[in-house]
Amino acid sequence: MFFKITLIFIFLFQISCANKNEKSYQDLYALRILLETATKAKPNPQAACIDAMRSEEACIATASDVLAGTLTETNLSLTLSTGKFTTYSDLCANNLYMYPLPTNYVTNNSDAIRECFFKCDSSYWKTRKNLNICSGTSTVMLSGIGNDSGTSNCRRNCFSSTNNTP
Amino acid sequence: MKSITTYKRNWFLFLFILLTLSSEISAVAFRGRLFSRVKNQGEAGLTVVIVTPTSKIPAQTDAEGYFDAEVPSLGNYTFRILRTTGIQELEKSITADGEVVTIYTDKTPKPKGGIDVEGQKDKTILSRYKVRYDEIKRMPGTLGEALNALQTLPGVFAPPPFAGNNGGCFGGIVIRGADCRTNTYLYDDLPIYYAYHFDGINSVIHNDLIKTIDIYTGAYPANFNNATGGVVEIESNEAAKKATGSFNMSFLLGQAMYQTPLFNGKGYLAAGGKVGYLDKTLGSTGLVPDGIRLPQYNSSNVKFIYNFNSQHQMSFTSLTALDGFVLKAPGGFGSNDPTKEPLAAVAGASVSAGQGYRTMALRYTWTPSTKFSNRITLINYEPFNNTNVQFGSIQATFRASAPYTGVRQDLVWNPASFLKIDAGTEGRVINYNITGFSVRLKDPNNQSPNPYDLTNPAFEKADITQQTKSNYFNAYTTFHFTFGNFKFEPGIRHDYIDYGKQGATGPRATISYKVDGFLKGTTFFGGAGDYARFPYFDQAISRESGNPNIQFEKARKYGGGIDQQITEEWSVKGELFKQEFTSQIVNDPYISEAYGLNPDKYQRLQRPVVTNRALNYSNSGTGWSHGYELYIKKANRPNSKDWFGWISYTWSQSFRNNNIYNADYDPNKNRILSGDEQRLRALYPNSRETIFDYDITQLLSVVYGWRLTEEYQIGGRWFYRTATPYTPVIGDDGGQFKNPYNNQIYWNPRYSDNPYSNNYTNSRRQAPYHRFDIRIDKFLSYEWGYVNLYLEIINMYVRKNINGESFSTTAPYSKRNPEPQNDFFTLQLPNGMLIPFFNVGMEVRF
Repeated sequence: MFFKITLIFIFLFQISCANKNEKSYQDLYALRILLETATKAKPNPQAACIDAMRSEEACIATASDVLAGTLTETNLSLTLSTGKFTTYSDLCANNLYMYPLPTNYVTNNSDAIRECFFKCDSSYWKTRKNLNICSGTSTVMLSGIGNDSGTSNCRRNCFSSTNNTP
Repeated sequence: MKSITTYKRNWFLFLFILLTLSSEISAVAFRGRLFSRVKNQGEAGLTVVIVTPTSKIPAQTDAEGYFDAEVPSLGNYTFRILRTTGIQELEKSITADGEVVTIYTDKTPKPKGGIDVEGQKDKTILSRYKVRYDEIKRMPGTLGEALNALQTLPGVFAPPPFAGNNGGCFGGIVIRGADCRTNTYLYDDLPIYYAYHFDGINSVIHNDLIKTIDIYTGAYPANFNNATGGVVEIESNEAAKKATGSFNMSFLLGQAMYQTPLFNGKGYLAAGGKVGYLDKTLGSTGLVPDGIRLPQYNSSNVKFIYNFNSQHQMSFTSLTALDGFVLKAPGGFGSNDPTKEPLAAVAGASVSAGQGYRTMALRYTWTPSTKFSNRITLINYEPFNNTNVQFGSIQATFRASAPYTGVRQDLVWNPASFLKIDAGTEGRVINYNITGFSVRLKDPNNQSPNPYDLTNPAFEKADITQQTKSNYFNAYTTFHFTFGNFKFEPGIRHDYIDYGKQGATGPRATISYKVDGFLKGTTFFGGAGDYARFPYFDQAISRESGNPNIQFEKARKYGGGIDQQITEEWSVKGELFKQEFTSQIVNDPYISEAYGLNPDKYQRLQRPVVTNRALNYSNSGTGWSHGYELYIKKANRPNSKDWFGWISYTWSQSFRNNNIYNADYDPNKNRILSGDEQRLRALYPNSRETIFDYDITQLLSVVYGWRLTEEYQIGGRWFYRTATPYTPVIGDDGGQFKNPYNNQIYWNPRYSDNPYSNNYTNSRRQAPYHRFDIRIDKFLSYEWGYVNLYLEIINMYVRKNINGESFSTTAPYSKRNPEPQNDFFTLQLPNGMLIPFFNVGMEVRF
């Protein structure tokens, strides 16, 4: 933590000096990117995956085709892992998710992009929950992830290096 | 005694008479003529004193400039010409009794129809060549264009159209491995937006109004700016002794010129114009596919000068040019057979492009003495272009103009015999106006973007509408120190543009020393400098879709060499050079600002602000070029029928590096990263140097000319150059997309993404390009002037030179696709016979 704070101060100092010395926009850009990187927490796709699963569970639990109280972490994990795992933690650690992930998903995607994608999914479910629109059928809501413009935009922001929309 | 004395006296008298007589007998009689090359006539009524070791022999020139005299013996003599303005001393050899000796009193030869190019030594000797238009007017292979003759000089060549990865370089020249878009063209120190019309052959300046062309290929003086390549400085005529005109017609264009003295010689008016009618000549032959309207163009040059007296002069100059080109390929041909339909590959595409400029200048020159001169120029300049392109996902429609009004001042001052000072300043108010949409390649490393891939378009449309007002200032000074044979010329220049609040300072200096004694003199010279260029008229600086922080492109140039005058006619010049390019503008998909307005105007209402707003262009590019040049020249004596010619040879290399992230060099390129990670990764660019698009290793020109008689002249030119590099097609995409207009499958070419293969970017070259051109002129003289008929045969030995390779997107990759693309200097008759390209023309001069 101390190292990070020191690093941030060094970068801030450099930006301040760069502005004074009228450094090129490219130097300022590089400092900004380094500062952003230094201030960001280390990506944790496992935690994001679990959070997304929990968000999904919270919403789908009230779906019209799901009996109240029947959808639990254990049940959902067992269903998605065809009886192998009982926790989201194990599920996510074994590259299983609420929808099938491509093979080599972990090796082909960085931790940051996976975390970002999971967060987009999590956001989808949380938004539905907040808007009280979790009463539809689970199938429709699940397929909604692929069609939802907010989620698509969120994912585009994940891998887009420029013009990210907040 | 008396008789003896008388005898002795007679004897002495006899000896004296004998000696006097023998002296008379051994004297050499000759006829001399003082001749002015500038006035093109003998100098009448002047007293000439011939200085011999023992005496000074006076003579007087007659109305034609002739005089008769005798000197004691054959040999070299000093001729002292007495003028009201002072004494001029010239040396000349008397080599035969009874000889007619012409003594030229000035140094501006104008041989009618002669061809010559010479290094100019009055100004900087470093990296500079001067071409007099009247000397290169009839150079073979130039199609009558003076500017084309620049290509016979060291380090200069015109790349094939469409060569390179940035859309080619129509009508441009490459100077010492620099980008052809980074040169500056000036006409009487006034800006020209482009030097050639759309056909890439004919220049925008009327030939007969050109007096000289200077080309600066390396470290150029501080009074020029905005070029990291070279500077082409065209000077026009400033006076005419009598009213003259010319009319010239050829297959390509017609041009006319008229110039006349005014107000009893105090004024001068010159006007010239060109009209290209390739669409009427070649366009009406049926050889051009339907849907293409060949380039139409016109240009005009007008100049008016009035000398109030020897101290005050006013001049007005107007330069205009307008070019247009249209292609509208019909969609849905019916037969769906690309072999029968020449435009099948681009069916449905429509392109209309136009460009032009208008330069107007009012200039006042004050010359109070021979030691001081000041010039003030009011300039109004407006370059513009219109682009309308629709071709699959490539859609661009915009009109851009960057007019400016400016005032510049240039002075020359000789405060001491050893020092001359040039200094100047300039201020401009620039309006950068652009309206419409442009298209940009999403990934600059994508070598084969598919215009018909609409699911994941390789191009993106960008709104580039912008109206910006900006100020620009510059100042320069150069000190010319001369101490005997030693010259030292330091200079400095500063350019500042408040668009982006940035400036560029460019120190520079040249040094030279002439050693007398070996043959006719040896001059050693060298120089270096920092140079800058700002892309005033470029999408890269757009606030809407570009980077408003873009900085000046920069170049550091070094050069040095030796100039050896062997005889009065033969000379050799050798030069080494190096150029380092930094801060070059490149397409950069990663550079961004922290936040900004959403560049997609359609989304602005919904999402007005974006983070990491793309700037699309950065100054990351670097590069270098180096090489050496050799120039051997044999000049001809003016008005003589002697032959002349030269050989110029250049060896060079040129490399570039975009210095951005390039997935081709990344072993983990298939791993998908987040935007944050990509931005971090792009801070450490991995691209490497590749051979520059216009790199050529060897360039050789041999020029020969001979005025056979008063009626005929012949000239020949042979040149050889290494082919420009290209990236070979190694396959296709399997024909994944179709042209919706005719359902023609679009076979998108595929290029190597392995940087270690010999198919990678610019790894291949075609066979060297060489050809031999001749020109035969016949002069028909009349009382009112002359008619010059000429035949120009280009590519005499009918070599099928290859400019590159052409991939037809209407067929899959195969052994015959791509196929070599030949230049157009070989014509094929209907029976299959090949003949060289030729041009016939007629010039009427009155």
